[in-house]
Order: sequence, then structure tokens, then C-alpha cells
Amino acid sequence: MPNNDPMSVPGAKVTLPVSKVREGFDQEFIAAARKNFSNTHMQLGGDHALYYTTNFTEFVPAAMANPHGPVSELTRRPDPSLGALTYTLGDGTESAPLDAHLVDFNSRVQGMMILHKGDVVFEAFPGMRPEQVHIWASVAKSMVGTLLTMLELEGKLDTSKPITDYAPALRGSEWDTVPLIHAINMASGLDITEDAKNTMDPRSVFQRMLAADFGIPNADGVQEDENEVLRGAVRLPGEEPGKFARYSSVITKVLCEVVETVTQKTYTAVAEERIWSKIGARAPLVMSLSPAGLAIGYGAQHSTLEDLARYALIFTPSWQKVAAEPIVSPDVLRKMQTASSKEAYLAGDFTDHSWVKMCFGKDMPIFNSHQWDAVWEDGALFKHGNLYQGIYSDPARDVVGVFFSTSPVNLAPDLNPGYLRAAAKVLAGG
Amino acid sequence: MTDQSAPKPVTAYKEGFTLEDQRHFKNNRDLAEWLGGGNASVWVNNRPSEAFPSTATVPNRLPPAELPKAINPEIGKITVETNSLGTLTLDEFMAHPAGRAQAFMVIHKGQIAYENFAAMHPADFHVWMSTAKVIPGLLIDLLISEGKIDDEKTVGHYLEVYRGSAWEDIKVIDVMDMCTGLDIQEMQDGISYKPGSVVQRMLSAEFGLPYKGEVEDFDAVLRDAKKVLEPGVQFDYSSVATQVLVMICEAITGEPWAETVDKRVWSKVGFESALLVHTTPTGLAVGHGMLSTRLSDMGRFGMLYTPSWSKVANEQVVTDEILKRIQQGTRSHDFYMKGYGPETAAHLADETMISNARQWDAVWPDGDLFKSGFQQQSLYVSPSRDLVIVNFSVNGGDDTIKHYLRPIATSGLF
Repeated sequence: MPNNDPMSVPGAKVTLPVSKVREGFDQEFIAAARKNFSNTHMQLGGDHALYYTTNFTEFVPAAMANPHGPVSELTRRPDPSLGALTYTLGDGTESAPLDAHLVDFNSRVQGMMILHKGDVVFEAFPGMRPEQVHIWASVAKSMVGTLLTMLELEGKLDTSKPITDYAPALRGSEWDTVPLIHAINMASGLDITEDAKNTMDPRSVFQRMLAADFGIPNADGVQEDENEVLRGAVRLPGEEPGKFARYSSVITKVLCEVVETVTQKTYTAVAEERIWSKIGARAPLVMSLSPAGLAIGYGAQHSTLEDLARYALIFTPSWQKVAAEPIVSPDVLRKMQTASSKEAYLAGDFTDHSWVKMCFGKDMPIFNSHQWDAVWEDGALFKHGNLYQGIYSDPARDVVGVFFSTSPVNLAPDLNPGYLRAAAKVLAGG
Repeated sequence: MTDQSAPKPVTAYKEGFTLEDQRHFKNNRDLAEWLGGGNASVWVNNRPSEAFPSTATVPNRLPPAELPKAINPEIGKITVETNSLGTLTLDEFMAHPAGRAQAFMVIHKGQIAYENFAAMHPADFHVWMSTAKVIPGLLIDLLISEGKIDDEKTVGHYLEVYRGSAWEDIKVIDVMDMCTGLDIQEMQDGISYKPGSVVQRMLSAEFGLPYKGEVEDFDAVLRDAKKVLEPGVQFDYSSVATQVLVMICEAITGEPWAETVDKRVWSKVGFESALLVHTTPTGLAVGHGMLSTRLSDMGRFGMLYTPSWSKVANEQVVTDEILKRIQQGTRSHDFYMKGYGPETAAHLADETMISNARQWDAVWPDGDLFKSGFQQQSLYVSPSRDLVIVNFSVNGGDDTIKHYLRPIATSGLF
């Protein structure tokens, strides 16, 4: 009998400090990581994942959204007091100081930056070199939501229409019953949610989609066609679209196709044209591609941390620090901040995530919206990523925070998001 | 649906690729199309990380070193006899649809003296093809300077995997100068990448494309090479030789080749963007050709061989000793012309070079250096004139653009 325990695969467990990424890996380690590459192995967040999260283009082909023009230099104005920052966790206890958290072996944080009024006030790179690119994981979804909202307000798509109006490959499937707006807000009513059960089940639509997109065989040894996997999605019993927000990368995959159908350009070309060419980025935004050539815009998107911070600034009043023209209009921002459902948010599974409970149990978001996981009453936006990545953009306080990690989801809850919002409050005086 | 096989002018892709283009090229992976110089070649050359299965990224770690512009309009007026279009100035050739030139840049004393992005965006990556070979060559030279490689030692000494094959007793210097005497020549019976040849099978294995229905093991293909001549007799151009240099480099450093480029070259220069190192499905850098950068970064790389290196780099990467090794490392014009030399001479419309040396295709008595790429990419460096000429094209056949290189260098403008 083959041993099917994923944790028994070499490189699945966490034994190395994240600082190993700064030093580099030897050929033997890399060969073993290559040999064992799979979506499930990566998701475990162990030693091999440290290689995958910073070298993903070695495993899956990628398109490049290139920066144009000069680099936008960010001013450094370090605020030493942030190292001592703590906040009240969802269980009522006080967090460790930020500096102590960052050096904790189990936090697995590789890089964190906080910017106030467009200037860098805090940065730490315990587990990567600042110039390295790192996977955004689901932080990437914030860009899908932003691009769709731009297209909507330009009148290029109608979010009340079925999503299959803009995703022809899925016509004739259950997706026909899903209005685009409910897909954008993650309330599809389909059995594609990324809950603990589906995440651990290699035969879930979610895991089969990952395998198909990474170009590797599924749990039954079959390399599946990505659209066939999506077409197999079924309705959750008794769930109408729009009633329950249930987190799903499968939805975002379809939304990337919507962007392409509407623009008749590749998702990467749209990202370059509308965002990445305009923010003075230092390095390309790397978009991994599925075998069919669709950008894996729900998660396999990569950049340096500083370039992610530049992107985070476009939602704040400090956009001028990186761009010559506004990229996210006030209307697009307002739409993302307001056009969602608190009822669906509370009825669904977003609040089950351990990072929501631990970081924001005492400061709950009002809902998810437009691919952002969390929006607060004050207009702040947050998106979390698998293996613990994050983007926090707080237009009212003019603060952004970003972080990259490679952490197993079961090692410890992700406490990073809470530090970012706590820092925003301290920096903005409340 | 557009007929994707009908050849379009290269300018049709200046602003990028449509959704339909991208889907078509991504789903029709064919080595002959990729190398043929048609539409698919434009896509592969400008979107290499989409086409190739695996890419290692060498980041641009230093702030970009700006290249100020001091445009000299006389450069664009330099004329040559083209292969089939009559006498044309450089400007005319760049605008001519039959030229299939995408971009051209001349850098003199660290300033841009000519630039023409006729058919690509300056921010786009482009495959170097064989102009890349000088980087594996440079790394070997750097390791020689560090005392870690002796180029009089053999391939078998450094690479266990080739012991017992025809490679075993070939000296590193003969691999560097492409005179192994093995049947690994790029051009066989007048055909480039002849089906069934070691070099054609190696390319297929590198791209993860099948040969006779199967993706072959890279090492096994190379072990099939047979001896046809004594080593050192003549210049027999081959990408296979360069790949062996990549493997020797990895064997010495114990690290992936891309990391060595990063540590020893890329991290010391103010490049504008990353170096993409496309690799085989098993992760070996395809250093003989599948490296991609922006054109201006190829220019900055060329500057490392000129007195203006300090304008882009924070230390001298190409030392005087290494430059001399190349410039004084030529064998003889006879050695050159017995083998592949006439091909290169024809590409350049010039026979005044001495020979090839250390992965450079041509070295002239005045110390100038030239490396060619398969789809008419060029890297030309004149250390004495403090001049770098680079260009990207996707031409499968017409080599006219290389006719301009030596006349520009010797025009008296520099």
C-alpha cells in the first residue's frame, strides 16, 4: 500500500527557519523540492513550500506584467515605536510585541512593510531578501475585484447578468444560475467553498482545480481539463446565490476569464495596462498561467513586497507617491467599500477563518466585498492569502500594510493582519 | 478566427498580443514554429516565460543605472548592402517590414546614441537566443580567475555524468572555444538543428517537447555525442558545448546556475529589470540561449566589457584579465574558417575578424567582440571605442541587420 499521508512526504514539515530563504538552498534540497512539487505539498507550508513561494516560475509558466518608466522611490521614515506594538487578540489576551512576533520561529513571517502617508515607517525581512519575488496567494484576488469594479463603472459589464454571459466556456453548467455580482462577492451558492473539508479533500473541486492549473495530475492520477473541473460544480442544497458568502478561489478563476472576455486581452495585459505600468514598480508582476493560458489570478501571482506595497497605496490618498495619475477612482473605491451584504457575510464561512477570529474578534469587519475578505465600517480593506500573506489598505488613515509568509495553516493562527490594523490606528491617532 | 499562420509584420505585435493570439500560441507548442521566424517566433521571443515550462528569475537588486541620451542622428543614416532589399540606411531597415527587426540600441561611453523600438515595447522581455552564450562563458572565466576551474582540465574531470562518454577527455578550453570535435554542430549538412541531431534533440528535451513521441532525458541525449574530429582542429559552433559549461559551473559552485549569475554578475549591476533564466523541465538553466531581458539591460551587460562599466556596476565584473583572455584567446583565422567561421562572416558581411573565442562568435584585431543570436539578435562590444551595440529581431532567415554592426563601429563616429 502506498503511503498517502501528505505529511510523510519529505519537505512537508516545518523544520527550517524562514531565514533559510535569505541564504539560499543547495541543489540537493532544490532537487527534492522539484521532485515533490504539487498543489497539496505546497499547501502544507513546510520546508519545500519555502522554495515554492519564492521560486514559483520554476514550476509553472508565467506571464509578466511589466513596469514602465522610472521606479517610484519610497521615502523611509522609520517609526521605532512600532516594534513594540501589541493588540488585543480575539480571545482577549494581548499579542506579543510586533518585533518579538516577527522573530518567533512559528510565525513564519518572511517580510512585512507598513507605510503611513505613503512613506515606509516599518519594514522587516526575516525570511526573504527585499528584492525577491514571493507568491501573493489570494492577496491577488484584490486585483481581480479592483479590475472588475473598474470595468463595471466604465459600463463594460453588467453585474446583474449571469456570470456565464462573460465566461462562455461554462455555459450550460450550474454557473448559468450565478449572477456576476454574487460571484464577485463570493456568494455563488455552489459547492466550491474553500472550507477546511474541501481544502483537505484532494477530490474537491477546489483541489482538482489547483492540480489542473498547476499542470499536474489530480489525486486519481488524471490530468484534468480545467474548464471540465469548473463545469462539475454543483449547487449547495437550499443555497440561493447571494445569501451566503463562502470563500472560493474557484469563483475568482472564473472572474479572471470574465476580465479577459470583456477586454479581449489577457488578464496580464489588463493588469499591466491599468495598474502595473503606472505605479513605478521595481520588478514585473508575475502571473502564473494555467495550461490553457489563463492567468491564475486567484493566487499564483508574485512580486516583491515593496511592489505589493506600491499597489496597496493606489487605494489611499497617497497614490501620488507612486503614480502620476489616479488609478483607483473614488467611485471604484466607494463601490468596493460599500456594495456587499453583511447578512451574507455573517451567514457564510468568512468569519470561521482563524485569522478573522484572532485578529479582529474585537474589531469585526462589516463584510467581504469585491474579492476583499474584509471591509470595515471606516472603509479599510483587507485581503488574506494562503500560507499567510496579506494586504491592508486603509484610505481614511492613509496607512497600508503588507506581509509575506510561508506558514502551514495549522501551525498557529495568522496574527499578522491584526498588527497592520493596530498600526494604522496608532499611526493615525485612532 | 484570425489565421495565425499567415505571417504578420512584427509591428503588429508592438503593443502586445490579443487574447486570441495568446491562446493560439500557448496551445500550439511546436519547436519548428518557434524557431521559424514567423508569428509564433515573435510570441516566444517576447513572452518566453509563457512558452517555456520553467523560468528562474534573477532579480534586479540595485537601483537602475540610468543611461542618459545623447542621440546622434548620423548613426541611423549609416547604409549597408542588404541581402535582398538593396542599399538601406539603418533607419530605413528598421522600418522595413521585411527586416523583422524589433529594437536596436547603440550605447557610446555609457550614453544612448541611438535607439529604435520599432516593434516592441522597451519594457518587454526578449529572448537573447545565442547572444546568451557569453554569460556561461563569463561565469567560467570568473571561476578560472577565482582558481576554481582550470580550463586545461577535462569535462570528465568536472562532470561525473559524462565519464565514459566521448565528452570525458575534452578539455574545458576546447568547450569554451567550441572545438570539441564531437558531432554536436548546430549546422549539419547545411541544415540548422537537423532532425535527429544531438543539438536538435537537446533543444526538444530542454523545452519539454517530444522527440519521436517521447521527452528525452537531457544527459542521455548529450551522452550520445560521438567523436568526429580531434578536439581543437576547427570552430564547430554548438549550443551543446555551452550547456556543458553551464553544468560545469553548477558542479563547481554547488548552486543553481541562475544563483551564480545573480551573485557574481546581476546583483552588481544597476539593471532595469530581471534576468529570466529559462530552464529545462528538471531545472537546468538553458544558458546557451534561453535567457531574457529588456534590450537596455542587454546593453548594460555589454557595458561591463567597456571602460564605462563603472557607470552601471558597483564593481568591475569583467576584469582586464578576463577581457584580455577573450581578446587574446583567438586561435587562428584558418581554424575559424575551416569550421563555422564562414557562416558568421557571412552574417556580418565582414571577414576581418581573427576568430571566435570563449563563447564570442568573433574577435577582431582591434579587440572588438561580437555574439550572434539565432533570430538575428546581436551583442557587439567595442572596448576600445567604449561602444555597445545591441538589437532584438525575430528573423528566421535574413541576417541583414548584422551587416550594420561592424560599419557602425568603424564609422568614425566613435
